[in-house]
Amino acid sequence: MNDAPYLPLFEAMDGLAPSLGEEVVMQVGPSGFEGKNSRCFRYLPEDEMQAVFDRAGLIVCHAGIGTILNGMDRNIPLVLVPRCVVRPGAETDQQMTVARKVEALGRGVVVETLDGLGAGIARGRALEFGPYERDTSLCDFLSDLLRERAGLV
Amino acid sequence: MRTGKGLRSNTDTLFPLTMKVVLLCSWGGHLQEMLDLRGAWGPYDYRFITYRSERTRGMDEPLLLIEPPWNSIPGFLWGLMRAAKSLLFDRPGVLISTGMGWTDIFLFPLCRLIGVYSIYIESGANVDYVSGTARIVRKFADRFIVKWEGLAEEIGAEYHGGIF
Repeated sequence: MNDAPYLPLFEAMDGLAPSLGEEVVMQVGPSGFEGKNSRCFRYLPEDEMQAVFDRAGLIVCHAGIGTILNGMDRNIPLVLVPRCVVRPGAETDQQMTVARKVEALGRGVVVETLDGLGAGIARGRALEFGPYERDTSLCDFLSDLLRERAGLV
Repeated sequence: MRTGKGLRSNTDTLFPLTMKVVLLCSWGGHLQEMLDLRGAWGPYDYRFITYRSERTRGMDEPLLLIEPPWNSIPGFLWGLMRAAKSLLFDRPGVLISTGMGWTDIFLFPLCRLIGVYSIYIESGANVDYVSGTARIVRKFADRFIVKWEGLAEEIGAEYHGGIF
């Protein structure tokens, strides 16, 4: 989560951190938020960011696609706080649609108000699911198309 | 394999397939969505064109970093010129974008002009409507792909699988 409008979410997470019993690490982007109870960084190089994902047991995010994909690939439960939850009236509600899809797959929970974040985290921790098998149809299609363009078929 | 400022071919495979593939993407989710397609472009002589950021600076891939326009317009224009020059001289077989905003808007028409086959893949984050960039790029791209079936039907775009 990168933008200043997410400050309320960073503050909420930082407030919950002592009760969670685990290290809380947050990417805070340009907001400059400094947590009292959590480790915060603005950005990390890609390989270090991947290492952070590798260590995560739960991901709280704003339903951005990159984070969702990283979480699902690692079979990490997702607690999704779509943009419109922290920024009511946000012009796009598409994140809610994506978040509901993840929830329908049983791999995440959607938090609809920041007051419900603690309960959402508890529900996320209780999720159980099998290994994620991603839909590779697009990659397969692209692979065939590139082979065709390369003259290999 | 870091390339620094220059561009070098990917030599991770012993005999890289010779077709050049250029990969356009911004950072974050756009970058992740491109990386998720590595199975398709990985075997070829590929290179990234992406925005300079903390996330992309240390990428161990062949890449050309462009200053984002919101950081510096002169820096962005300089990077855009370098990207355009590399397309003109290298003439890749295919250019694929998963979303790079202003860079897409300039480079897709250039690809159409010089005969580089171009593929635009809209972000899976866009469920109900495509981005402003996508609406412009669609006029120039050889293939225009979205990741939600309903959206594809509504706007007459291609759909070949979703994000999940």
